[in-house]
Amino acid sequence: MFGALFFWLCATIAFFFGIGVVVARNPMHSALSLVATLTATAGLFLLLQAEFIAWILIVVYTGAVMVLMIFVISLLNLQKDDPIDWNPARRWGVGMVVLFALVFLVYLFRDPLAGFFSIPQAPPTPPEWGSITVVALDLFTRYLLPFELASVLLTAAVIGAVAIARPESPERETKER
Amino acid sequence: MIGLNHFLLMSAVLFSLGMLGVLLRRNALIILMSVELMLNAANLAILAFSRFPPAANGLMTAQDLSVAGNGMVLVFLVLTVSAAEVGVGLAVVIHLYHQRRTVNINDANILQG
Repeated sequence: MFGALFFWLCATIAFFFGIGVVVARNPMHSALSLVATLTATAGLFLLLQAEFIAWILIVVYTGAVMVLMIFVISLLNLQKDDPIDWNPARRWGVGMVVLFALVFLVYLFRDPLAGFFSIPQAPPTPPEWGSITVVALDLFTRYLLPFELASVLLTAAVIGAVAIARPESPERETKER
Repeated sequence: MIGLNHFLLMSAVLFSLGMLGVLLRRNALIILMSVELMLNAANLAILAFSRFPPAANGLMTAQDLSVAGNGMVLVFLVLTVSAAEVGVGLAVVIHLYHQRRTVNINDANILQG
């Protein structure tokens, strides 16, 4: 009962702030809406008993990544209106997406009692399911190679980000000095 | 009672919102954020399938459960990759802004023939 209540609470928050991300004129409002959506999604992760991932999502995403995003928005000082662009190609794209979503929903709800609401029960899980112990055990034994590759990827991303964001043509800077 | 389909529906809704954002907005930063939304929806689907594995008829062995739990490792790696993506993406946006004084991707047509 509490689970259902918590699910609908998180789902509603995630949905409405997700709309906020897309329609907000000011990028800063978009970023703050995304923070709210991600926090609500972390609540859904908790409901799926993925505790470690939920906290990681809050720490890494709403903590680090979104701060970086907000920092860039402030740095570029983007306050101007950025209206939604409704040219014909875009209208077609949006129409396709909405149509797809509608077909999907109709498919899901076509036979509510048999299809959607007769749900397989979640299997009972051991108490340590989703804890950092279990995830780390998998991560450092069976999936050691992907883990190491992820660290290589992060290093490459850091170097790449510095190389890309560096000011244009350092020769000119040295000439000016 | 909340089951697999509720989470999948939520995931689909969030993914569609992110896709709408990518299609509708021309601000590079908001497009990045919409991509984040889609990645997050994918993570939600992965975790839902990990919690509700296909053979969930009460006949799960401890082996099955530990295999299903590997979904969390996958989500962990996806989070790593998307953090890297945000870093590089923001660097590209800053570079674009330095060159063009705008983050509107319609103005970023240098490579257009």
